[in-house]
Amino acid sequence: MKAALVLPAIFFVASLPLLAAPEDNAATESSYKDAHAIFKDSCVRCHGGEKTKGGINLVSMLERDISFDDVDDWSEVYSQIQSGNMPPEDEEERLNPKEEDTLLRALQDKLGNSRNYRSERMISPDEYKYSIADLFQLDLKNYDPIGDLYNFVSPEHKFYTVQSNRMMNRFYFTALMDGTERILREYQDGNQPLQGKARSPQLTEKEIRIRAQRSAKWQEAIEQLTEELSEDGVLSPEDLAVVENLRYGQLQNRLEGEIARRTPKSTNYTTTLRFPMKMSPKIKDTTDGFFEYDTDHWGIRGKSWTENDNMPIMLLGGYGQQFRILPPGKYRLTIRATATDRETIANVPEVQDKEAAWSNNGRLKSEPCKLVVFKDANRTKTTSDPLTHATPVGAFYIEDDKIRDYTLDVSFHWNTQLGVLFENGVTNVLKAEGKHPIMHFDENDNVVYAKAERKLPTIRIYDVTLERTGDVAMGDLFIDEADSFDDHAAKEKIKTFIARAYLDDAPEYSDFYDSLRDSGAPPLDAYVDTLKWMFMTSDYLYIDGSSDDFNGQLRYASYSLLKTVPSKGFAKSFQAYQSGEMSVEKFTNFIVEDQAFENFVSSFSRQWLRLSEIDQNAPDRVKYAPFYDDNLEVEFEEESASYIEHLFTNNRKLSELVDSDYHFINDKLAVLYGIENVRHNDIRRVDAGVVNERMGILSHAGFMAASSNGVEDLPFRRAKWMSENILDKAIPPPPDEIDVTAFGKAEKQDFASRIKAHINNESCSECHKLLDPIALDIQIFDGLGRLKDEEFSAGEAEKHLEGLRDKVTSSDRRIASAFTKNLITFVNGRKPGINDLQIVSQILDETKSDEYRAKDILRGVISHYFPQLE
Amino acid sequence: MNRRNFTKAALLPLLSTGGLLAPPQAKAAATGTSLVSLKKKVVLVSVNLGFLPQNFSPDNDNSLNSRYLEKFAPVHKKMTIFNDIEQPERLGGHRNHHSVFTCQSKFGKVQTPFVSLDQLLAARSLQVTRQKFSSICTASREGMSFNMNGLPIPPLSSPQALNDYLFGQSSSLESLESKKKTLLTFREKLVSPKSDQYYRDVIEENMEVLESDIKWASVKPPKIDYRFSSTRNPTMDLPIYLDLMKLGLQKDQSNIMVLDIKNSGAVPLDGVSLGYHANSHHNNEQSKLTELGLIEDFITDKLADFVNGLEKMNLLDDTIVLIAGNMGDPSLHSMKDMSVLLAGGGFKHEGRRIPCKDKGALIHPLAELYTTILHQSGMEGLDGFAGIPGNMDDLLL
Repeated sequence: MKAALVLPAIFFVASLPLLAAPEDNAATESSYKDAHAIFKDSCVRCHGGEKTKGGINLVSMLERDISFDDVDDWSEVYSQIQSGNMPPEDEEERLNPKEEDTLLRALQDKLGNSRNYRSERMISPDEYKYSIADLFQLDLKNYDPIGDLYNFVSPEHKFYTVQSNRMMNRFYFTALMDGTERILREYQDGNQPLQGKARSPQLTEKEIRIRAQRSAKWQEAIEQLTEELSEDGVLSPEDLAVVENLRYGQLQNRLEGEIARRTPKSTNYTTTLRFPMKMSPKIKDTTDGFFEYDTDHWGIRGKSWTENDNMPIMLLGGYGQQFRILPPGKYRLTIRATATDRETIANVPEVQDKEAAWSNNGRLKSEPCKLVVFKDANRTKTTSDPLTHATPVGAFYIEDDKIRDYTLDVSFHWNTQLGVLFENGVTNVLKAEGKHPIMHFDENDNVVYAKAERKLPTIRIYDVTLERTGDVAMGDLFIDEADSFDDHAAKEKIKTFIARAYLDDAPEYSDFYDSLRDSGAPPLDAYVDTLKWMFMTSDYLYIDGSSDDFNGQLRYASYSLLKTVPSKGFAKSFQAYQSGEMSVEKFTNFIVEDQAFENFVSSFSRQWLRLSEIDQNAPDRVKYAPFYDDNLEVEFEEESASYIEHLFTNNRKLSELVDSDYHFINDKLAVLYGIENVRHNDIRRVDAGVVNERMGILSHAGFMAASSNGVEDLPFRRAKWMSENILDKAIPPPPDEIDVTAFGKAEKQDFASRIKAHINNESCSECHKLLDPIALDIQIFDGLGRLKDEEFSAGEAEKHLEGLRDKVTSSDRRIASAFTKNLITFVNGRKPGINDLQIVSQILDETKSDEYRAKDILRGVISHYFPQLE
Repeated sequence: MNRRNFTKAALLPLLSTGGLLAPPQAKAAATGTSLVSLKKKVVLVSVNLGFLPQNFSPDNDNSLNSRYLEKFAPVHKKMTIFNDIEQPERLGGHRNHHSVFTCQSKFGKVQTPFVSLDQLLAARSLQVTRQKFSSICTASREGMSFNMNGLPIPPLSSPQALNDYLFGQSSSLESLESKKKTLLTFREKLVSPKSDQYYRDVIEENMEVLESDIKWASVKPPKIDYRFSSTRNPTMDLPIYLDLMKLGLQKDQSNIMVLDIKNSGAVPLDGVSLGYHANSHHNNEQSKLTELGLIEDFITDKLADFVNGLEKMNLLDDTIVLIAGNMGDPSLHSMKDMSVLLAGGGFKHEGRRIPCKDKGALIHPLAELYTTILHQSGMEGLDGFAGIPGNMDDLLL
C-alpha cells in the first residue's frame, strides 16, 4: 500500500509558478529591475534610510536582492501590497494595478517556490495533547492531566512556527513527560485518577478550631449514616462490629468496598444503587443558612459570597460523604426536588440595593432555581500544579412548590465524584445584611453559628437515585487485569499503540521494552515506561508533509486538519480522497463533521482570539464579579469555539464572524449580556431578535476579557486585533516610547477628545489613524463584553455599534483574507510565506462567487495543500 | 524515510526564528571556564512599570531622602542609587520587559548567548544550595530569566509554588535514579545519533539536571514556621513572595533569586480605583499620579521591609540586592533613565548616588553595573556583559 501511494511532491502546488525556464530569464531580470525601481520610487521614502516604518527597511533588503534571508519581511511586504494596504490610502502616489502586479510577480518569482518552505515540523502543544487524549480516550473537558503545554514553550511558538525544532526545550520536555506519566500511571486496573498532592493547608488557629468542630459533627453524621446502612443491609453485623474501631477514612474505604462488591465489573447489566441522602439533623447547627434538614428532605439555600468560590455539595464522594468514588460507567441520576421560599425575595426591604443583592440583580426573581450537577474532575493549568476542579455535567431548573423527578444521563471514564450546587449567580447576603450570616466568634474566640435572619430561596431534595446503565469503552491500551499482565500482553499493547498512532513498527521499541525488563522492571512498569518514551521520540513528535510513505502523509494530514493522531475513519477517508474515490467536497464534509474537528476549532479560536490570556488578565473581582460568581471562563471559550464551529459546519459566510443575527450562549452568558429568556445550561444557537447589541466574536466575553487588563477595557489593543485579524491591515508594534503628552492637552478628558488630541502627533498618527476610528467605537464594550450602560446612552451605544458595523460592511474579501491567512497558518504550523499568500489569493478568487463561506475556504485549503493523486 | 535518521540540522537555515535562540551546545562553549564558588548571594528584583522618578529620585542629587528611598533609611549606608542609568539596547515598551536583566532586546540586535544576569551566575557557579536559582514572577508565566541557550525559564508564579520549590520535599533518590536509568536507555535505544542535534542536546540537558537533582536528593529541606494565605492578587501577594525569599536565603535553599513584580490589573488598595497599568500612563494627571504613588508606596514598603529585614538578620552584607525599575518613565513606557537601587553585597556604597550620564551622554550603562555585580559575586575575569565591555569596579569595589 505504501509503495502505491508514494507522492513525489504532493505539497508543491501545481498551480504555482515554479522556477523560471531559461528562456524567461531575460524577461524576469527585466521585471526585477522594474520592481526595484517601483520599490525605490514608491516605498523607500517610508521604508528605508531614515524611516523604517513597521521595521521594514527596503534599502537593505533590496541590496540583498530579494533574498530568502529576508523572507519574513518580504512576506509582510507581499501581504500588504496584496491586500491593497501599501502605500497607504492617504499617500498622494499610490501603485497602479500594473505596478502592483510587477511587485507581486517579482516576489513570487524569487521567493514563491514552495520548495523553499519546509513542510516538516514538530507537532504543536495542543496537537500533542489532543493526540494523547484520543489514543487513551480521555475526555479532556472532564479530566485533563496534561494542562496547558503552551506555558512551557516560548511565546513565539504560539499559533505558528511550530515548524521550528527549537520549540523543544527541557521544560517542555519535562512537561510532556509529566503529563504522559500521569495518564499512564492512572492507566492501570483499579487505579483512580490522581487528585494532586495533598498539601498541608495553611490554616489559622481559628480555622483549625472550626474544622475540628465540623469534623466532630461529620463524624456524628457518619455514625448516623452507618446506622441507616446497617438497617438497609448494606453493612453486615460483622462490619458493624468493627466499625466502632474504624477511623472515618477507613469507614469510607469499607463502604466503598461494599459498593464495589455490589457493582459488577463489566458486561451488560443494569443495577440500581439507591443512595440514602438523609443527613444527620445535627448538622444543621453548623451550617444554618446554607443547608436545611428535615426528616424527609434536605435543602440547599441560594446563598454564597462573592469573595468565595462556589463549591458543590458532594452527593457521592468528597469530604464527609458516604462513598468516595463512583466506578467508571454510564449512569442515570434522578433527583426528586422542589424549590421553595421564592417569595422571600419579594419581601426584601427596598433599601440600598438590598433587593439587587438578595436576588442577584433580579435573577432569582426571573429565573427558576437552578441546580447544577458537577463531577469532580482532575484538571490542571500546568502539569506542575495539578488541581481538582468541579466540572458541570448538567443542570436542572427546579420548579417552585412542586415535587418532581429530574433526570440526567452521565458517563465517566474515570472514578468520579458527583456534587450539586444551587446556582443562580451569587446572592450576596454579606452585602445585604452587612454582617456575616453564618458564623462569627465570641469574646473567647469560639465559633458561634448565627441563624440567617430570613429564609432564603431553597431547593429541597427528597431523594437521589443513581442507576448504573452500563460500562463505558475504555480503549485498547487500558490494562484490565494488572495481576495477569505479562510480556506478551505488554508487547501486544505496544503493537496496538504503534498501529493506533500510525508509526512504523521499528525494532527499537521492542528493544527498549526488553532493556527495561532486563533491568528488573515488572511488565506493567516496563510497558508504561515504553509508551511514555515512545511519545517522546522524533517519530511521534515530528510530522512531515513531504514524507514518502502513506503513514507519514496520513499523520501530517490528520495533525494539520484535525490536530490529532489519525483515527481509523480519517485514514479510510483520506485514502479514498487521495485516490480520487472521494471528492474534495465530501472529504471536507468529513473533516468538519468529525468529532475531532471540535478540537481543531477549540484550539484555533483559543489561540486566534488569545483566550488563554484571560488568565493573565484576570478580571477584577469587584468590578467583574459575575466572572467569578458564575465560573465563566469555561463558557467564554466555548462561546467562541461554538460560534466558529457553526460557521464551518453550516458553511456560513465569514462576514458573520462580526455580524450575525444569532448568538451562541447559555443561561449564564445570557445573564451576563443582558439577553432574556435563555434557560439552557449548554451553549447553543439563540436567535438575536430584533435588537442585536452584539458584534459576533468582537463582542465575545472571552475575547473582551483577554484583550483587557483585568480592570480597564483596552480599546486600542482590541482595535489592533480587529485591524489585523478582521480588516487585514497590519499595524506595526508600538514605538519604544509612547508619548502620551497630547492626551493631557485635550480640551476634555473623555476618550474621544483624548484620541483626537494625539492624532496630530506624527509618531502616533501613522498607526492611530487606523486604530482610532475602531477604538472609538469598540470602547462601548467593557472588560467582559457588556455594553457600558452607565457610560453610554442607548442612542450612543447604537451609534457606535453602527460605526463598527460600517467598518466591516463591504469588507467581505478583507475579512475572508485575514481569516484564511490565519487558518493556513494554523493548519501548517508556520508563518505564511509568499507561496501561501498566493494560495490565499487563489482561494479567495475561488470562493468569491458564494461570498466567502467558511467551509468553502477550508475546502480550498485542503485542495491546495493536500491535493489528490494525479 | 525514517524520521529518526533525518538530519534536521541540514535544514536549519530555512527556519524562521531569526537566529534568536542559540542551540544548547552553546552552553558548553559558554561554560567552558571552570565553575566558581559564589562569594555573595544575589537577589534581582524588577518592578515592571518602574517607579515614578519624582518619588524615587526627585532631584538627582546626593540625597536618599525621597518618598520611596527614605523607607530604606536603616540601610542607607549600605546602598547606592544610580542616576539616569540605562542600556540603549533594551529598547522600550512592554514587549521589551524581558530585557531588564539581559541588557538586550529580543527584537533588536542580539548578542549570544542571550542570557540573563541570574542565569549567567547560575551557569558559572558551583551549586551549593538545594535549588541553584529561583526565578519568580508575581503574575504571568513569562519571566525574566533566560538560560545560556536563550530559553526563557518558566517562573514560579504563585506563593505556593515558591514555597514548594524552596521548602518542599525533593523526589526520592530511588525515583531519580530510576528516571536516569530510563533516560539513558531512551538515549541509547530510541534516539539515533543521526537525529536532530538540537533535540539530542535537550536530552543531554535533561540528563545534566537529573544528575544534579540526584546529587541533592539526600539534602532534606528545612522545616519553616511560616504560614500564609494567598490573596489571589499578584500585587497584594508581594509580601508573601518576599518573606519566602528571605527565608530561602536565610536557610540557604537558593543563592540566586529573581523576582519580577508584574503590573497586574487591579490593586485593591484604599484610594486606588484604576488598574496599575492605566495609572502608569499618568501623563502628569494628578489623580493618576496619586494612585500610582499609592501602589508604588505599597511595593516600596514591602521591598524596604525585605532589605531592612536582611540587614536585621545580618544577611545583607553577603547578599547583593538589585532593585531595578524596569521602565525609567512609566508614563512613556521608556526604558531610559531607570530608577535602580543596589543594596548590600559588601560594595563600597557610602549611601551615595552615582551619576551615569555626563551632560546627557551615557557614561555608565546598565551592563557595566552587571559586570561589577558578577565580579563581586566571584566571577572575576569577565570584561563585560551582553557583549558590552566595561564595569563600575572603581566606583563600587
